[in-house]
Amino acid sequence: MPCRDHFVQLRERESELASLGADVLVVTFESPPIARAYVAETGLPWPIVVDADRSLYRAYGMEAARWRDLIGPRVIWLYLKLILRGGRVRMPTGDTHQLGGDVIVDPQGIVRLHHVANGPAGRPQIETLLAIIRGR
Amino acid sequence: MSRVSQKAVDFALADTAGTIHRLSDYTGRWLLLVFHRHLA
Repeated sequence: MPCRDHFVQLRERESELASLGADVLVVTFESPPIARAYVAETGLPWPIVVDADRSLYRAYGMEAARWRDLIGPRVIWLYLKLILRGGRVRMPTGDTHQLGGDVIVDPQGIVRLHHVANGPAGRPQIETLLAIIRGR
Repeated sequence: MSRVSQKAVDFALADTAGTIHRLSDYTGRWLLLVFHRHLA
């Protein structure tokens, strides 16, 4: 799943994030039992908080995906690459229309990156995130 | 409606252990908020 790939890439740079004085907080809209199961399955090293009424999602403009964001050519290519790598593709459960994204807040509480992912294929590169935190 | 250069949206959300995380807890640190799509 492309979202999980994003986390794999983040985890590969976990020590670098820590050395830069950066904290990671994962946000989900799903229930605490589902979030706990996800943590148990993936060994997520960061806290995951539950935004049950999705107010924080909405505050950052993360609404519902369009159909072409969910099944467009870029998403198809992402899943094809996953299959060719021998990855497992599972039919998703839960609300697949909810958009995700990445937000970086600087030490003064100012937003420095605000990225709404346009479906599974739209996460920023890890280097982009690190460059902002490094200040270049 | 990009929020770049604006104050971050305040929040107080519980994690899976019941601990409340607030935006103010991260003052003085860089914070990467990763909003997940569906988990399952």
